[in-house]
Amino acid sequence: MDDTILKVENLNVVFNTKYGCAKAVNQANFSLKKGQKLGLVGESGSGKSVISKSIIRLLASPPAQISGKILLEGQNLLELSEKKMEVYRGNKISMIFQEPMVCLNPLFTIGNQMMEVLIKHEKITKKEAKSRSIEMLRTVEIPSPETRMKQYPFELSGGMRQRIMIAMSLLCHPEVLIADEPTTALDVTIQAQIIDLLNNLNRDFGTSIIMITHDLGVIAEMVDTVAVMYCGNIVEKAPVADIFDTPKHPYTEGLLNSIPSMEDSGKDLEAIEGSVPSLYDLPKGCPFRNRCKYVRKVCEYHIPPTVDLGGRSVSCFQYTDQWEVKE
Amino acid sequence: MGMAKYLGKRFIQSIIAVFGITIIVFIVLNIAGDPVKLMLPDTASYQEIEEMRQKMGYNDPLIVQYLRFLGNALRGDFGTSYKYNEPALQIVLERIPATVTLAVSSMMIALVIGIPAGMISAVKRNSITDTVIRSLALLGQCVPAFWLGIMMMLLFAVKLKWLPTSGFDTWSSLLMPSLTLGVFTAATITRMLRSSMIEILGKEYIDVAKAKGLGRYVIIIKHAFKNALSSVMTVIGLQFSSLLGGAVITETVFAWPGIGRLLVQSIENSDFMVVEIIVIFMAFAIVIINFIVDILYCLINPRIKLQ
Repeated sequence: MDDTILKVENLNVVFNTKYGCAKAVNQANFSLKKGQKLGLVGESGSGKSVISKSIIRLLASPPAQISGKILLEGQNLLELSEKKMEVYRGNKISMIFQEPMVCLNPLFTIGNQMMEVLIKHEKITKKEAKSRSIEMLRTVEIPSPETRMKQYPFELSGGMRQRIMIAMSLLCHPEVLIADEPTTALDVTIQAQIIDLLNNLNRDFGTSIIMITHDLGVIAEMVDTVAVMYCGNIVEKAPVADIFDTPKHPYTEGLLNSIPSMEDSGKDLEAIEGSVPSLYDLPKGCPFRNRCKYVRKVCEYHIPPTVDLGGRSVSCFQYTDQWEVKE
Repeated sequence: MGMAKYLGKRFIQSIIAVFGITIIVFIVLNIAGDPVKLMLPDTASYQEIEEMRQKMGYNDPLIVQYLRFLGNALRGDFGTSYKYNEPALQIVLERIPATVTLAVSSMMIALVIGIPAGMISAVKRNSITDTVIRSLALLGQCVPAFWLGIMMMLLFAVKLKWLPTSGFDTWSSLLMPSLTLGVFTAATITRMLRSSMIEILGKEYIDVAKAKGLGRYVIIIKHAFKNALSSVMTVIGLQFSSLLGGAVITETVFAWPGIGRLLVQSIENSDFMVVEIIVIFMAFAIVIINFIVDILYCLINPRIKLQ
């Protein structure tokens, strides 16, 4: 038996709005092994948050129309009733969010908000829930956890609240933790601490992590595998070292070139030409073709297929037979 | 002890407000003129009017008159009603139970209808249920009390003979006036709660609560409603104090012996002492209710409690 925990197959998410039809996620495929850390990278609007919210089923539907399969230990989450889904959320699969300052309910104590997770998912007394919450706060390196339990969110800093969110999401030892840009709203030193913490928890509990970010630095420090997203498509998927050493997709290449480096100081920063097209008005063919420096005729008419390159995959005509055809 | 300090401050502010109100009431009534002419027959000579004025103290400096008024008021003496020739305070006190009963029962009706309606409307936003509730709420705010009162009277009292048209003795006579008043307040609460709930349901911590696997009702009632309530509470307080101020039209339609009707009658009769007490009572009611709202607000919101 393989140790795949989560498998996303042909996931499509379409938003039908009054402005038109936006394809936020297009035929996404990826899988996550036990203990694996997967990074979803892409710019704003590339669909990475939509994927994460589809997995834990937080997207309001309608307007979102979700199709495909999201298999958690073989169970398709998209088929579950809302009531059954509750059993999975916070228990087998949990999520931490971007803005720790607004993620905790201002009217309840930290203890109250942590204990309710355990009380919902496990047959447990209040006293046990309390001691386990305190234990988990200690695990995420929060000083004097007993005092924190009685405090309200407004009494704590952003970094502290993100630690509490992490503690809360790990209370029931979930199989998968989705981290939706958990360090974006924090300053750099706290960012590093949170990444260390997530790495440690991944090692100690064996929790698989889906790390969503636009920060390639975070990716380099954290994940094993990277999926690069552009306009709702996963354009490249590879082990983290390969992505940085030998990017295959022109978009990935562009992204890496636009990271400022020490050696290049004094030179102009490279950027990808053009801007992201609107999801309501995607170009026909490859969504990246308007900005791609290698673009050929074939890119204009067909969506590039996903090519398996052995341990990694990429969606680009460069790696297909069609590229050979001379124009 | 942030809460005690905060409430102490609010309490002192309330006392100052009450004093301010007595001064304003006193000055306004003085501008309106003294009632000496009303107390004497039309044929009274200038000499007689002047003597009466002197005797009643209306020729003293305003500040002396105010302090005398205040001193008497503190001893529970608000003077005599010119119309009924009885202690004015007693006349008002006799009417207060009717007004309080009506205010409390209308508020109960308003809360029982308004809170669930507002919540359902917000949770099922843009559904048919929501549209129906919103239309009814709009209607409830627009329908004038005199029309609603009379229509209910025609239907339930005259046609169906289920309820008495007026009276003050049984719960059945309380029902129609309470509904007339309650419908408006219920509509106001519904609309406020709906918009407040919608705002809260869009907050990140609601997504977090969902991601934690909490049930729908826990999310709506524990996480959303408690937050929404703190902003709706102010409106509930304001509505309740205005109900306590008496409802002139409803009281008139149902011949309800409350202070609203007494106030209008006393203004018509220039029965200043009675007017004075009612205005002070209304002001008191508003100040006290605001103070209670502050206490509740403190209890709900830990931020005030602790800072």
